[in-house]
Amino acid sequence: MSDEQRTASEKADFKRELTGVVPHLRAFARGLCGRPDMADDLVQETLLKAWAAQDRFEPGTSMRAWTFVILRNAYLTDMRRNRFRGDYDEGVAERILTAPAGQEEPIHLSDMRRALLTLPPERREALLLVGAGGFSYEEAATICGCAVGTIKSRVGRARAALTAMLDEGDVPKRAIDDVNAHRALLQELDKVASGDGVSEPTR
Amino acid sequence: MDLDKQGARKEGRGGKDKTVKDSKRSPGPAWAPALQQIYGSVLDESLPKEIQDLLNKLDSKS
Repeated sequence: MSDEQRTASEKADFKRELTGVVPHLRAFARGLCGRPDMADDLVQETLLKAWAAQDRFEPGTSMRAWTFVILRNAYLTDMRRNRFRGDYDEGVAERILTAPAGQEEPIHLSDMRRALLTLPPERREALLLVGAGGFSYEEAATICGCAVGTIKSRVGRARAALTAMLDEGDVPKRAIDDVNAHRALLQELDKVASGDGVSEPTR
Repeated sequence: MDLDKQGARKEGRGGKDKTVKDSKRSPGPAWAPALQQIYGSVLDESLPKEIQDLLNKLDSKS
């Protein structure tokens, strides 16, 4: 459907649906980057991209899945750009790992947040999509641009890793010098810098 | 019930967007409620002014 063909009513419908998924975009983005301010920047970028590409959205399909693809691709692109500028390792990594937890937050939640950030990015996003976002394996596979079996494997490995970390108390400390957390971030940087995992928006 | 199975039931292909905020689920990993709480807590937040402003301005960007 071309933009010229879209009626005011259709644009209003699109905007209403887009507005409705913003909380989900924020939750997914925060799970990916671990920082509320960075996550909201990513959401704003996603909203602009989605609005500009609204003629490619097919009414009746999942707005949430469609926008999650856009957000995910924007995240990977931003991370790659930051890596190329050379300001990620010591800047963003330190900010993520030293991000303060909520004062009233139960300790297990802060442990959970840190444990999530140590997961390889592809496993973290798979777990967020399926385990928290409520997507089916099939939908998560579409969003991530991979096979359903791959998503199942990633979720399974993420679950096993979290269980091992949280049961054994091997959750990274909140400091840049934590070896596990730092290593996980650097592995993530290497992966996104290689250009893996960029998928096409779903219809 | 596995988290993934519940997710599939709630969302469905091309179905309406729904949240996974209810706590009706059978025992899964001990950390599963924490994961859902982290995600769900963001859903419950008010939208920041910057995002609200952006949404208000979208109509003029077409």
